[in-house]
Amino acid sequence: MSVNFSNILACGFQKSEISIINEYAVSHDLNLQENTYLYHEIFHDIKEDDILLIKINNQNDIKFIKRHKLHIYESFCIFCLEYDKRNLIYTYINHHNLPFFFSPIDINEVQKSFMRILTIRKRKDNFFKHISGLVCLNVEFEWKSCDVVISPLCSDITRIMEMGNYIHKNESDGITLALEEAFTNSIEHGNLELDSNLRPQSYNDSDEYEKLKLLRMNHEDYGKRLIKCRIFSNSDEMMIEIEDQGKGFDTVSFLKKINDTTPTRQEILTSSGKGIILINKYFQKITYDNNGRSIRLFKKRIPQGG
Amino acid sequence: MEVNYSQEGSRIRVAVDGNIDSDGAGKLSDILQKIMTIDNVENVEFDLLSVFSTTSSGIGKLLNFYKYIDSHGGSMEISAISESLYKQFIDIHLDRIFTIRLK
Repeated sequence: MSVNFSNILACGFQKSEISIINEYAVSHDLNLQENTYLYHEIFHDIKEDDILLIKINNQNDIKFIKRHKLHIYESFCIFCLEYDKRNLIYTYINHHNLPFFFSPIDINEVQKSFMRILTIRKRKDNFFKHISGLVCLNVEFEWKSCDVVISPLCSDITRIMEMGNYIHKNESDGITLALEEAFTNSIEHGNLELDSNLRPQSYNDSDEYEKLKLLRMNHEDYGKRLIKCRIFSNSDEMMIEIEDQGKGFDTVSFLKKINDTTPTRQEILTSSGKGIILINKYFQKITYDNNGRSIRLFKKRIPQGG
Repeated sequence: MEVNYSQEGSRIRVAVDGNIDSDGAGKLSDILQKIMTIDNVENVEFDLLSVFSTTSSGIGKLLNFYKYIDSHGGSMEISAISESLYKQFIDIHLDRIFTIRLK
């Protein structure tokens, strides 16, 4: 697959935005075709070296794109989203691993967006080359904490594990939830530095944990900390590593506490660490590194005939 | 994930359909908060036969609800549970907190 583009197909943008995209197109020797409203005309004839730029203005736009999703998977797209519709669309495009970028557009944003496309396109080429045989895989992603949408991300990683024969289909739900636990822990306890003791111990308690989580997610010092995910596999096993940029923690004491086979009733009712027990259930091995900032989950490949 | 409840006198039955992920825990919490506004509830039973796994957030909601109902003199039990969720609950010793019936 080539990573060189020839054409930009743009639809849904206002005139002022098109002129900015055109400025970029001209300076990079790209051909710009624009269509303000009629998406279906553009979807007919998309080629590999086209970039399809769609501005999502409302829910009808995303419904339209869903109907034509086969075309979207064949081409490379970026979506510029109206801010107030972001949550509405975020889940869908994350779930389908489609790249997206936010408005407002200026020439720097267009430049940055296209550089991201090239980077993601290169990764995607390697990624799918490996996926098709899944003998070995080595990919790395990173997101700001405030940008991670956990559930669909974990569903996608689970799909990869299924495709590579590292899990049976009936393990999928459990694996997805275990991954959700791992990502949630890295984001909330790692990057956002939230203490489990802040969680309400009864329904009468106010939820200081959730309040602080929201505050820190929107705070530059916390929300923009990165979560890195590395997926490595060979013929024997797959490793998923999730790394945060938090302070780390005492993994030895923590693991000792959760491996305690005789907790008291009170400890069961109040203790944290249940997430790790759930992760332990679905992955054969878990290790920590980098003072607890990195967790590695291991799963062996299912033997043929197994 | 869907969660519904029904009432028969002082007994409430909560049925959960689907795995309890992060969003599901929120839905479960909303229903449990509604139940807490009902007077004279003596027993709450949970049907988790169609739940195969839950996040720690879902477990937290169940435990907090247990503490609430227990502090008000009521009781809580899991009247039906899938085998995989049962194993999960055993791993974290929840069988020592409330009655769990494996069907």
